[in-house]
Amino acid sequence: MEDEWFRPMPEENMMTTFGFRGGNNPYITDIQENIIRLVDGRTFTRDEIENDTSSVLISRELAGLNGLSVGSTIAFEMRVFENTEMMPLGGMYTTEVAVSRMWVEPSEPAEILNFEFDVIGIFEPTRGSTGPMDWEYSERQNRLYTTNVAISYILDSRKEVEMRINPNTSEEQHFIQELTTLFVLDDPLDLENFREAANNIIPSHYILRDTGEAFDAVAAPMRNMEFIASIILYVAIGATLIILSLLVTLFLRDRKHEIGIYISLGEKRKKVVGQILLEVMLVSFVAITLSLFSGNLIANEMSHTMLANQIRMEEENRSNDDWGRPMSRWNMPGNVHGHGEEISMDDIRDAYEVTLDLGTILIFYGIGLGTIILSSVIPIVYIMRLNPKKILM
Amino acid sequence: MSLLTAKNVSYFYQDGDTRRYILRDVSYGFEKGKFYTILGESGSGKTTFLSLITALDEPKTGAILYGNEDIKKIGYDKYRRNKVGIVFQEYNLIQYMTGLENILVAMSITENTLPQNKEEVALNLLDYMGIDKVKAKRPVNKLSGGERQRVAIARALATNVDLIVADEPTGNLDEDKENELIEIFKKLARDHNKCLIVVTHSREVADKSDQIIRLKKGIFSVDE
Ligand SMILES: Nc1ncnc2c1ncn2[C@@H]1O[C@H](COP(=O)(O)OP(=O)(O)OP(=O)(O)O)[C@@H](O)[C@H]1O
Ligand SMILES: [Mg+2]
Repeated sequence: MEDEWFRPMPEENMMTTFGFRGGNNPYITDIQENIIRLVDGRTFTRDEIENDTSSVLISRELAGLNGLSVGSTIAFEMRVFENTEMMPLGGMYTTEVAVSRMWVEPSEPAEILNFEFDVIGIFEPTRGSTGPMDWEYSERQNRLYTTNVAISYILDSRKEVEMRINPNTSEEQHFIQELTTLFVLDDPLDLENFREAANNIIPSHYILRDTGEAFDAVAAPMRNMEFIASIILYVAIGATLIILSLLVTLFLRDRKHEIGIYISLGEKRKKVVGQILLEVMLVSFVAITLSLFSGNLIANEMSHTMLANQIRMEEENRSNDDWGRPMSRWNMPGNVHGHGEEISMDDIRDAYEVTLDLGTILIFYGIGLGTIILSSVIPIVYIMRLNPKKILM
Repeated sequence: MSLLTAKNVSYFYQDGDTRRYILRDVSYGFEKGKFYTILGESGSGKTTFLSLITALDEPKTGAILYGNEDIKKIGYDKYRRNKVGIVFQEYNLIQYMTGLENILVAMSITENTLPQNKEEVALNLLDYMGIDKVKAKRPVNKLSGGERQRVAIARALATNVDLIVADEPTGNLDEDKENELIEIFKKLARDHNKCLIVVTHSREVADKSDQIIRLKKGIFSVDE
């Protein structure tokens, strides 16, 4: 039987574990989120998601090292020990259920459970390895994607045996500790409701953390920035109003003679006003366009610098967890088994783009042109009341 | 019938509480084909009167009629656009434009029917006024005072109006140029049936006009 075990890779990594990851998404969320990509075979069908307990996707490297391909059958044995000493794992709840198992075992198993899987697809992590100690990478390579029904089947099978050989252990200890659950919310706004619901069902001594906290931490200074920025905006609009009114008036005083001539030739004042507004608008439009894009560039640079500072400060504030591992909000215990890695500080930084969407652009032009129209009110009144006799005679 | 009629026109400037009358119940009719001069001392109110008949200001009492219609009813802007050509004392040309462009501006504002080939017409008009093509395409601030004066007159004529009003057009000209200009005015009245109202304080100019109107103490008096 020993021969049928598959070697997790890389070998030199101490934390060699196979992780089964169930899911109810036929397309596999990790593929959709570009954490892995399918290189051969297929993902699940609806029917498999609901009923199948024996289909898996394995990594290309795992397949290569073990001579597997799409269509191969692989067998796993699960060793159940008396009073197992397991390292407690982080308690994150998700719709995708994973069971993982330490490779190193303390003694002879009391019972061995056998499971067989058909390889239906081969995947590859999208990110390369950063070195031999990149446990996150090896976890991805040793991950097997299957269905939630398959996971339930494994868990139920084990539960039955476990209850038999360790009747004194509580259910909680048996199972939850080996589960990492990942829920994917369709809408981040559901987070608050989710938190509430999840807090009601998690066992005592467990706490709920969501990776959104990382965004919150970054978003807080950003919200402050937003407040400051809005004040700056109002001050800028005010100052612009005064300065522009003055400038346009000066500009008109300069052209008072010319405007007087147009009026003496019988030009309609409305037309003169229109002409002046058109000229001011054209110049403003060019100016707004330039400032929009240069401003966007500067804002992007600035916010990235600010974020970099934020990250540095966070890293300085890091504390160590119970195992001496550095711990921070973004390096949660759940990361040990690679289920928290989907969000890192770098991800946040990369994701935090200052971009211009159509709405922002329209608002910008709206405010800009609106301010200019407002600043033109005084000059327009000036033209409408202009007395050409005084200027020309 | 008169082309332009001042009907019981009064005008005053308000000096604090007192009204300083410049025109007192002035009535007069100007006809087509005639060259009028308004003669008066400095400060007698000649320019003020012109401002009323060019609708740049309005009488305090009385009315200005064009044909039979009150110019207020025509609309002051419209009246200036389509009925009257004004030659200002200070020319009032748009400095950064060429003479030709100044004329084309006026031609583009008027609603009077003009020939299609506006530029050609404008150049001919300037040529008639003694401004050749080269000078016509020079910015007006690079023309002499006399040349500017003639561009200003050409502009007044360009909109094809019957009434030309000029304030001291000969003020900056030497005697030769003054005589030339008077000849042009006479020709415009006689050959083109225009009505010319020219303000001057020069007796010589007045003597060559068809009709002298003296303005003194707010009252018109006419030489027979
Ligand atoms: N806006 C004004 N407010 C008050 N008084 C004025 C105003 N404009 C002109 N005046 C006065 O009205 C009188 C007539 O001025 P107007 O300009 O009509 O004289 P004019 O006959 O054209 O003189 P000139 O030959 O010097 O050009 C002058 O005494 C002048 O000081
Ligand atoms: Mg005057």
